[in-house]
Order: sequence, then structure tokens, then C-alpha cells
Amino acid sequence: MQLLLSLLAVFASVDAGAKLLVGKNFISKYALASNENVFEYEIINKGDSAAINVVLDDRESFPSDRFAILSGSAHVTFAKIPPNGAVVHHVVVVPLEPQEIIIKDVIVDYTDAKSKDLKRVSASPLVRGYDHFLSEKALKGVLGVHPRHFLIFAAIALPLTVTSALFYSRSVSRFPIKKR
Amino acid sequence: MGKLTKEEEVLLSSYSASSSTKGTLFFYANALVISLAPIYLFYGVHQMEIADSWVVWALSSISTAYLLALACKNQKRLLKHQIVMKRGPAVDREINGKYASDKKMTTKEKEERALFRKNEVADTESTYLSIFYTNTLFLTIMLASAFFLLANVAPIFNLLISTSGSAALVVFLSTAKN
Repeated sequence: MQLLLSLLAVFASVDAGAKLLVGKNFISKYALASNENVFEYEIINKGDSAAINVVLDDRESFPSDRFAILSGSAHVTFAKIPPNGAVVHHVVVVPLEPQEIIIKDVIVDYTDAKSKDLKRVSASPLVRGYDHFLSEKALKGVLGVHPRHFLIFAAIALPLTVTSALFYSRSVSRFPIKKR
Repeated sequence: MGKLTKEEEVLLSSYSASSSTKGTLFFYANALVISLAPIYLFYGVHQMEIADSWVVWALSSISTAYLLALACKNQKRLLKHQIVMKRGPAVDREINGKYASDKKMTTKEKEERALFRKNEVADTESTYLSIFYTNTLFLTIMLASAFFLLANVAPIFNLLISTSGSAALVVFLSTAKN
């Protein structure tokens, strides 16, 4: 019984105070260079006290020589996240050229409002299988929209159609309608 | 009711809605090829996998082929009579020229031959023209619907609607009275 109580006490102490969970998602349809790409950050406080001075830092993912940030910021501070509260932050970036997607952990530093302890949490981004910001031309190649497909389609569909038209026109020229 | 003469049978056949076996086979072969072409496009552009999509492909190609063959037959029936009327004088000239020196042939025989020839020419021309018209109309409607109207629809529904739907529309248009 004493062991059970002590175990419960350990779990209770883990959940005590502010406890943040961080997520980073790529929410644009395609990862495209020279286009707007939207990333979403979500921070949830699962603890029983508020988190204050919450600083989200993801500047390493978007170096200024390779990215232009159109809106939002990769370094942002939230004054307070209450218990069971959440904040969502969006960053719109334009990769200046086709390049590899930088997979760096998002770091969130915060202070527990109750204990005044400084804490840090990090999370890996979820970029749905993309590993590069592609050029539009490369994306077309990936998606399979290629003139070759239409040419083969025409090669299947057109011979019968065109041959019929040719035979018809040959017959028409053989039996012309004389104008009065 | 008396037995029909050969001449009357030919005349009736030019107005008949039925197509010869050879013509029907030709229509079905053409329809099958034309119905398979969009499937390649969906395989390439929309990256539909064979293992996942073969049932939908089979459904689409069978229904589209049947509808296109039906449209061709309807279109042929509409065109044949018009072509008989149009080509009549030219075929008469051909027959008159061909048998001008044949003194043994009576006028009735010449008329009979001209009637046969008119029916033959009209049958061939209407077959070619109906295939050309039906294919062109189907392919245009199919491409417009698959890549513009239904561009954002899931590939399976896009395929079914754009192929079978377009073929159904072509059948509907081929049922016009004139």
C-alpha cells in the first residue's frame, strides 16, 4: 500500500506545475520554393498551473539568407498560457530558392507560474513526407502532369478519329455535290 | 402482304435503324479504344495505381464503350438518310458514266444499281462521319470535365463522371430527331 501511494505521489508530482506540449506542422499543400509556405505552431499547457514568458524559437529552421518571412515570426513570446490553454502561431515563409527543408527542433522556454522554475521543451516538425522546397517545374514532374501523358493519350485516341475523318473526306471528294 | 423486291429491301435498309454486324463490330472496337484512352491519362496524370483502381477502370471502360457504340449507331442512323439525299446525284452520274456504253442494261437495272451504290456510299460515309463526330465530341467533353470542371474531385469520381458522364451526354445528343 505504501509503495502504491508513493508511486501515485511520483506521478502527481510529474503533472504538477506547467507542462507544455509543442507541435509544428507544415500546412500548405505543397512545399514550393519562391512561394508562400505556411507553418503552424501549437503550444498546449497540460499542466495544472500557468506557463509565463513562453518563448518559441525556431529561427534555425529559417535562416534569413535562405528564407523571407512574410508574416509571423520564428521567434515569438507569449506572456501567459493558462492551465489547459493553448496558443497557435502561424509563420508564412518564402524559400528564396529550391532547397532542402531544414529539420530542426522547435525550442520553447517558459517559466512555471507557481514554482517559478525555468523549463524547456522541444519538438520535431512534421512536414508530411516532404524533404525539399521544390521549384514549380520540379513539382510538376513529381505530380506527374507531363506532356508525355497527353501525347500517348492522343496516340491512342486520335488514329481512329483522324482516319475516319480522312476516309469521309475522301468519299466526299469522290462524290461532290454540284452547285446549280 | 406480298414479298418485297430487292429494290424495296435496299430502299428500306437505307432508312433502317439497325446497323450491319460488321458496322456494329467496328463501332464497338472504336468505342473500346476510345474508352481506354482516358484510363491511361488518369493512370499517368492522377497516378492511379493498377492494383487499387482496376475495378473502377473496368467499370468505366465497359460503360463508356457501350454508350459510345450506342451513340455511334444513333448518329449513323441520323446521318445516313441525309447522305443518301446529298450523294444521290453524284452516284447517279457515276453509274450513268460507268454503264453508258452498255446497251444491254435497261434503265431499271441502272436505277437499281444506282440505288445499291447510294446505299453503300451512304453507309460507309455515315459510319466514318459518326465515328469522327462521336469521338471528337466525347474527347472534348471528357477532357474539359476531367481537367477543368472536376479538376479538384477525387480521381476515382473524376474518372467515372468524366468518362461515363461524357459518353452519356454524347448518347443524349445523338438521340436528336434532326
